[in-house]
Amino acid sequence: MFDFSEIIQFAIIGIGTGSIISMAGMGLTLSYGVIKFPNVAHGYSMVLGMFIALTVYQLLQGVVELEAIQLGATKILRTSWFILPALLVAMLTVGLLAVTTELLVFRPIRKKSPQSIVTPLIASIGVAILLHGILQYIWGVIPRIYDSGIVPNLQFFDYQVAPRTLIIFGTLMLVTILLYILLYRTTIGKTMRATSNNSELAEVSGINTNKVRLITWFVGGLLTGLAGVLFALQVNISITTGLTILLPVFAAVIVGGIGNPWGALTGGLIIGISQEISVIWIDPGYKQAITFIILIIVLLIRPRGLFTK
Amino acid sequence: MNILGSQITELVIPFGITFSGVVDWFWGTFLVIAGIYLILAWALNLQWGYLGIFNFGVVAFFMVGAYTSALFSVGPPGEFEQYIEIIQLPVPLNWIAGMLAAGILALFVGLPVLRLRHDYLAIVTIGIAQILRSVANSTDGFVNRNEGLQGLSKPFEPYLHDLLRLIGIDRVDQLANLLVIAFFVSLIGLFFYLLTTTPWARTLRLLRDSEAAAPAFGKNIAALRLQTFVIGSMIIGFAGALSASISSVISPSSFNDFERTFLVWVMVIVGGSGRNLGTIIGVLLITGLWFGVSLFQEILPSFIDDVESLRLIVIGVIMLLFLIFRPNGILPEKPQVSRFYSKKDVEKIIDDKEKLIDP
Repeated sequence: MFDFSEIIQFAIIGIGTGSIISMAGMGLTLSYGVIKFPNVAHGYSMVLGMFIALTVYQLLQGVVELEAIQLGATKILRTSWFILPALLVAMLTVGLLAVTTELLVFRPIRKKSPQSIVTPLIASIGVAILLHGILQYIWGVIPRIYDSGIVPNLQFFDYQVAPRTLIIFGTLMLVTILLYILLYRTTIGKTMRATSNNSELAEVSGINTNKVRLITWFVGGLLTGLAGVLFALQVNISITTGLTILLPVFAAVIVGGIGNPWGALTGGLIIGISQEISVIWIDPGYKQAITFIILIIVLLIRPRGLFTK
Repeated sequence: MNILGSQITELVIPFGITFSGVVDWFWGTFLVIAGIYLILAWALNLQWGYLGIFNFGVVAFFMVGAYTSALFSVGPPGEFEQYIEIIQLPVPLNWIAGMLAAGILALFVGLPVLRLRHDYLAIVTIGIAQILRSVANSTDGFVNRNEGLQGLSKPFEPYLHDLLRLIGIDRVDQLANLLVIAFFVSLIGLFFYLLTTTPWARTLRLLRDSEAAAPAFGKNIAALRLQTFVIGSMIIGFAGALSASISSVISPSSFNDFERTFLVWVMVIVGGSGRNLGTIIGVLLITGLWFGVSLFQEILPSFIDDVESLRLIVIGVIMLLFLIFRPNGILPEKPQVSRFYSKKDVEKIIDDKEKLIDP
């Protein structure tokens, strides 16, 4: 029943899934930390990143096509290095989206009902609905997949590792290091951490918390866009992901502790690995259930998260 | 009626919509859908408007009510179907079964989860709906997975239908549905109206507005929250059972998060949380917008061809506008104040209240 090599093999797959959840979680936890509510539009922000990257990528290859052709269920594209500039544009767009929603939606609401956690949360649902409508209008409902052909797995001792997993995990590590440098080695990072920690105290110490919030949203948006494109490369591009991705990412953030990027990192990996390992014993349709169980357990035992003081 | 009818018909025909088409749709489809949403919105209003419970899993209880009542009314599985076989109950009884099932789920979920902070509760309730859907889809022999169940007995068929035919009515199906919905909407509306006059409801509002004061009056917070949650969820389940009977076919994909949870929230927000009358307005407005948009598809210019995306955008914008400029909805809650307050004082209280919708 407990075949360790099988467990490790699936755990390796889980690192791939988990890295994406971690990345999205890190993006979410940054905004969650300064705004004190979970941004329900986070999933659709990821999807926006996916679609923008897709379109830029297609443009660079000389193809212009927004709606997928009705022929098959999905449209296949081949991957090439053009994905990198597309990725950057996607990240910037999502960052801009984050800043825009803060300016147009969340800040006016905060001014009107300063103590409320509830109204901004419902507002983020409104943003999610709006975003879903816009995405569906421009890009349609048909899912698409990136096709990179048959790429052989690498061998690590006894285990197979898909190169895709390695790339995604590597990106996660790179981003973590960069984020660490930003948060702990720059002044801006310090103000971000201060505002996330205790915004009244930060304001009193002379930090322009509104500006810092904007910066935090922007950085969070960059990470979210990146997570979206990675998801697209690993799984597919589809609008419905905007809702289904919410549970794992929210769970990662809560497990790790709100506002704590390293917690979200670990939480995401835990969830990703647990999901994939569970396949050994139960039907893959239950993966979301596993995430949910982890979330409930953490909420009942240690609601402030596993990695907070 | 005839003269007026023909005048209106002349007005509308150039636009390609016939008057009788709209009337048909209105009486047959729209009112039925709006009725179900009204029940859902009232129930959510109880949980959210009265007590501030953040239930984002409305669709979960709806689904449980629908499926339970379906399982209790459908016959033995056919050749390619696999589901749990239970005794077949006549129509109102299987609805009650659905209601009870939703209530039991609410009990199980509510006990550990209701004490969580608002945002946590929201996330957990979103998760519940997803879990239930994946369980329905992945478990063999439970509810026939993705193919769903069919052949559910329609409400009060055939008695109601025969009765209507006796009176000489043509479109028996639609009218039967409408009558059943109207009956239950009135019943539940009455129930909620009476409920709001009880001391129990007053306690709920006290709890919502000032969580610290309630224990001082000796109220058991946890019990109150659980009661509200369970009662609201049972009504949501009942709506699910009703809706399943009317469509006579259900499958996991017909219960999508968006239409059964988020849309209901928009209705409650727009209509005004806390006031049942406002909810009616909110439901009619949003349901009309959401489901009515397809009616006008023919008359819209050709570049607006993707009506589904557009209605999403419109609903999103409306919701955001309301939240930013009028968070208490069309008919905001009237604060219950002493009759010795002057009108100015009451207005000031309403103004203050606009600044906080949550405890």
